[in-house]
Amino acid sequence: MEDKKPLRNQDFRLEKMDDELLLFNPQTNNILYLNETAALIWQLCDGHSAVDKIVSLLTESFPEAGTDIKQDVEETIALFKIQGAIHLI
Amino acid sequence: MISAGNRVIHYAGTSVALEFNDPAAEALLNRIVYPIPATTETDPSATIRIEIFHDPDPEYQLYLDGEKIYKSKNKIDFAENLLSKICYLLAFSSKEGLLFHAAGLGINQAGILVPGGIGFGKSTFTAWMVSMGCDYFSDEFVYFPWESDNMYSFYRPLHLKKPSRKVLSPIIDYDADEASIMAGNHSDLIHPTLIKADNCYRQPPLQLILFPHYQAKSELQWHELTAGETGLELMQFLINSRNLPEHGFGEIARLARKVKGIQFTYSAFEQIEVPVRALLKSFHD
Repeated sequence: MEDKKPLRNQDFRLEKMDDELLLFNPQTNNILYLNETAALIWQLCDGHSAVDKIVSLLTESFPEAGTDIKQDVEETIALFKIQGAIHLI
Repeated sequence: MISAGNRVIHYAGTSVALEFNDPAAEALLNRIVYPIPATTETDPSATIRIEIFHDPDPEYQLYLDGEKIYKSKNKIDFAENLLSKICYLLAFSSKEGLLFHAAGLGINQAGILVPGGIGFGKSTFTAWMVSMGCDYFSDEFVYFPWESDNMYSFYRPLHLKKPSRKVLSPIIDYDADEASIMAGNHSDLIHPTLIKADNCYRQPPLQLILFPHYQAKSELQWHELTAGETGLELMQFLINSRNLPEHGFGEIARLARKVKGIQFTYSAFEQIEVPVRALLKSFHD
């Protein structure tokens, strides 16, 4: 997965709630709640940054989180993919 | 067909017309759908006709747009069926605002929304909240016109299933006369004044959202939700999303940003009495 570049599905409507996000796909009625960390990952799914780049960006920003970040990012992106919220290109 | 009267129920951006062949039918309707101030008046989306035939005992018949859909010799069963049909028709065509499957309550100048699905114990919890001093507005629907914070609740009797009698008997007189309680085979329709004599219907601004979940034998779990979590939960109880621009998502988010949401799981009212009293007190200060 590391070299794949996640791209947000533009069908999802987004509502920012403090540091969290709600995503809603009107075509499927699918709604996703993203906590602060997941919301950050979502914002980095721009189709230009590969998964390993997203991991390194977040590791630089949150060094105290250590090696957990890699697993968190991969799990979150896998969840986005299952929910149809991103495409991997 | 002879008409002895008619009534149009305007609610939640839609309306249903009702016709009667007998004044007793109108009296029955008025006991299960209380007067509700209309937000807008629209042409009825459907017409329900109620007929009573005496042969010699009364038989109640229900027609939808001219087609007979139900009959019963049991007045209470008929009333429950009629109420269910009216609610379905209103929900089906509701527009111009958010319609939630939720109870509506009031304390002082504040409105409390209690969303809940079937089996969540919403009506039982609602009756208990009324015994704690809240005013009762609805145990079924609450409507927010577009960009409004005010709760327009569908004012009707509390609809309580028979098993709830065991826990509610300390606060409800089940021997009261039929003006206060209509006891059916499986459930009771209860006028709110049987629990709170000075109950007062109004349309206050929403200030608190409670998501109760009854679960037998569970420990109390009490969780204050973030705005995002509140929005996620609210979306699950929006009934008329398919009739709304962008399925009402932006409006849900607007409400969730403004109002605190609390989710809790409980197995007995004793577990939640202290935190609920504290919440209600905060609206008196």
